[in-house]
Amino acid sequence: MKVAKIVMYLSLFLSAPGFAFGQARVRESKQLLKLLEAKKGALMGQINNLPYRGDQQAAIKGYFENIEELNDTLSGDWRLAKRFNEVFEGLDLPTSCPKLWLDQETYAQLLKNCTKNRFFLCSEKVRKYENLRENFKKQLTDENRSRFEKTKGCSLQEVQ
Amino acid sequence: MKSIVTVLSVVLGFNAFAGDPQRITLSDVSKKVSESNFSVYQTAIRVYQAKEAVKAARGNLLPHLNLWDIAGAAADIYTGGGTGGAGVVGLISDIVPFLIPANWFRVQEVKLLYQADQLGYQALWANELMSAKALYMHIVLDETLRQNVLENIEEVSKIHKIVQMRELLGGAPQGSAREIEIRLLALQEDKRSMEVLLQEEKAQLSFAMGMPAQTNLELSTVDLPDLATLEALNYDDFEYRAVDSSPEINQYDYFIAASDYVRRETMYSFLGASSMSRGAGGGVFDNIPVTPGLGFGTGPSMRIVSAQKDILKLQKEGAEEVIKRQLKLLVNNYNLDLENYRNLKKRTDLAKAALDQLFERLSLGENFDMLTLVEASRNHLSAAISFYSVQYRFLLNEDKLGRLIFHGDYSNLPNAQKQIEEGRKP
Repeated sequence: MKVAKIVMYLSLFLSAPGFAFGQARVRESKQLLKLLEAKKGALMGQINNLPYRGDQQAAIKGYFENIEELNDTLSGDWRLAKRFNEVFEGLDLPTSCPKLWLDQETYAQLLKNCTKNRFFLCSEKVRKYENLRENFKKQLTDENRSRFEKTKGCSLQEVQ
Repeated sequence: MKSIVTVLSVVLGFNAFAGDPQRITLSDVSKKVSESNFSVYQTAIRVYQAKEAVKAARGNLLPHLNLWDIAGAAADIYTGGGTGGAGVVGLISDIVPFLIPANWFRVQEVKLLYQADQLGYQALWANELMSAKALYMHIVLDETLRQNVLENIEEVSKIHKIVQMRELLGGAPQGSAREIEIRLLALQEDKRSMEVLLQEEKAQLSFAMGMPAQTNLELSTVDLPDLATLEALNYDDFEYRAVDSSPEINQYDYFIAASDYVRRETMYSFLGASSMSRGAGGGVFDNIPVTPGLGFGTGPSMRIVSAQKDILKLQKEGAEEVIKRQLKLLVNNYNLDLENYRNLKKRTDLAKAALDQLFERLSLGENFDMLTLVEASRNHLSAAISFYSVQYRFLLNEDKLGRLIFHGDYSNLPNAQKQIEEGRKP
């Protein structure tokens, strides 16, 4: 009986750090999504303030840079990517995606607003949006990727 | 596939040596400058050195074997410690270099300086590309102008013959043909000068593209934009991106960040100084006196580092101002060319109409002063030259603006590392 108790405590003691790290990664994953949502919000708050000057340009760049950073973070840490996918599984994509991603119409408007004569005045990352989303998709599990592609508002096909 | 490439390059190389013209386009210039320009390739190698320096600095944190030091320490112990055991203590830097804080700071510095070197590479590549593209456009413009001069020579020769005939028949005052011949000779001189200039420019371009001196270039024309459809630019629209994407400015952020580590390195120098190199880009901190051990020099050394940081901050501000000024100037010139375009187009059309009308009157047998015809021909040439010059100047300004905000060709920075690994040599 005593041995069983010791084994139980020992296993609890040994698994505690793993559990704590796992929880930390879940929290980090949620924070990453929250940050992306905040950046999207900042972008949407500035998108119609024409012509684009410092504040607008910073908000636009911030959103696309954040997607790039998110992809880099996930691709560089498979444990975090695993937890991120778990968090992503729990998301209601039809309501979450519009908070995180730009729809085709808004993106087209952004591209137009950023263009003057033959110049593109916003960050070059804006024009790589399709690639950024493609890279994000690569960080997802097959199941999440399939959900992401099928959900309206997440689908890559909507962006030209 | 490789053999096809080899055969093709041999054939192309042979053609270049044989002096056969090699046709290139503006997009070839971007590709060749990125791959084969001597300065760009040299800087790519420097970036490679900086990257290897990071690995070297990391590796130097691990123990390494210095046989002579070990032998010296052993002899020291054996002979009763003539140096008071200093030889053994000196071994620390070989056996446990990671115990010396300065080495850790040096690793961080080398990493930051590598980032700065990459930005330096970007700036140099963009400048070389811009110069080569400008040269290409100048050559195409000069080719166009040469063509115009040739047409004008033909026109004036025709007039010269007519005037000679009229002079003989008494229909034109004596000396008229001579006046026109002077003009004709001047035009021929212009033509010859332009041919020499074109040869020089082509030689410079082939050098910028890393091609052999014997290469005979033939340039494809450039599509000129319809300036009438373009809008005037606003400086404020460009300012953020020009400053944000400038490697010249961003490079300073890395230098400034590295200076913090240099300061810490100086502060902890009493635990030993680092003998690691800061790499190719570390020259900016070469004048900082860091001596091992705790002494009265540490304080002033730290103040020197702080002052160096202030200098770097000032230099960053200065670079930002230079970029802004260049931008303002370019936007003004761009708008000026847009405004002048309509006038110049009208001027060229009117000059052509006036010349055509005079030729028509001549063909109908009307008698008028032949010098008027020569003058009209000269006006036409001058208007055409101004018109083409403005169009190409516009293209140049547009490209310079592209360089300033890293747009178009300038957004496709070649991967220096890849370039070295693939062994692309000029």
